[in-house]
Amino acid sequence: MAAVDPKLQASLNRIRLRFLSVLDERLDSMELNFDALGQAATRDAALAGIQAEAHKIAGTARTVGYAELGEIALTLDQTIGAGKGGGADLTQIEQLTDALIELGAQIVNSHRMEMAAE
Amino acid sequence: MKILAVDDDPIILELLNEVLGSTGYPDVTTVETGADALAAVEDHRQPFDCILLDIQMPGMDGIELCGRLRAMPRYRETPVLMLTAMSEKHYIDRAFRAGATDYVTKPFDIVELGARLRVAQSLSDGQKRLSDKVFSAKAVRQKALAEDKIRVEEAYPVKDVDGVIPMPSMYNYLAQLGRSSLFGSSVIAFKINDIERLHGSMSGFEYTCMITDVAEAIITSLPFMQSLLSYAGNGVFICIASGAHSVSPEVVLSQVDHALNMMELSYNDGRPMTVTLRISAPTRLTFRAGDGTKRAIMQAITNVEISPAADSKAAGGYDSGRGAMSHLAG
Repeated sequence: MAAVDPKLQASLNRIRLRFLSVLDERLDSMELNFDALGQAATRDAALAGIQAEAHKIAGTARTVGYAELGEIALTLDQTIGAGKGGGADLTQIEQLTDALIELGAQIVNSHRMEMAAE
Repeated sequence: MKILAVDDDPIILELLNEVLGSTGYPDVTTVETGADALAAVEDHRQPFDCILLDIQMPGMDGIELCGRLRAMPRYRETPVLMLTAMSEKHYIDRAFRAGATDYVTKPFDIVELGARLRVAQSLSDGQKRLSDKVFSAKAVRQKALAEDKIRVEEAYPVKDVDGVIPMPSMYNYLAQLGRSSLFGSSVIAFKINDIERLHGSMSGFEYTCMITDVAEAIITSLPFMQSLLSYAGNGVFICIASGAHSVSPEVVLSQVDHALNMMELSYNDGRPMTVTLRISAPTRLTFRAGDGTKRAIMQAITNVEISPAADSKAAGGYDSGRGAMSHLAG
């Protein structure tokens, strides 16, 4: 990202905090859907739920400073999209979902620790 | 510039508010659904000058919304930027077919978004000037319209023909396509023969009708699965198509000829209008750094421009006006 003026940077920092708060909720939703992936009856809805959350994370993560999180989310979004109509690579989707939740949780936790230290 | 941003993610809307405000566009209205967007455009006495749309939204998606906006006279030409994480070709194709002006992939870069908006603003400003002329007093309006007959070199944006998009949108469309999406695509140029004489022989209204009719004849008779067409001015149309190398240009031209013949083009006073075309050989689009696709388009235009009717085939073009294939167009 090119040099950003201080006023905008302050706004971006505020939006980043909001992103982290929403990210926490999105990770919870993804975990619930992750558990439902194992059952055929709930798999399609679970995939749609995971994709919707991944899509939103992919749309903003890089802009607020979390490029790696955004990359994983984008890959997950595209992998689920490519497997629609049958042929979804469930193993890859599970690995990506797991990686996204893991990294997201690390980001949220480290932010909490920073806040607690202040 | 008054901007409407539509996205179901509130974080994106917050980001847009801040980023647009910091880049000189503080007048931003944000809504989270297509239905709310339609309510906003119907409510406002002063229309929006630019619209940013997410594609993937629950209910009405951004592509459908774009089509609905384009059906409103007030928003037929307003710059619409798709701001989306959907980077697959079929989404890009659908968005431009629905009338999108530009396509910005999320996550967006703040500087790049500002640059795209400045381009949108210049388009919007141009349209405002034209609207001001059109809605002025009647006498002044008639004078303005007479003076505003489009110039022969002008890239008139053909309206209301499915698959035909303005030239700036065509460049934006091509800029969005990556290496794999461009694979197998070609550019073909069509040119109306004797365009200067035709331009001088008719009113501005007749001229724009002729350009629109020819665009419709071309796009409806192309034998390719996926194609988009733009009018580039000087009687030249640019077509981006997949699989164009598998069909001979003569065959394509004869199908367009047939469509034009069926239209029976005429002047306002009923006289038949004779319109003939020539076509370039297809030029493959390859993904190259810089202006690769622009160069391919310029090459196709050059091929069809420099090929005089008498020797069009030798120059990489084919001419329907040779022999007895002129049209009664109207």
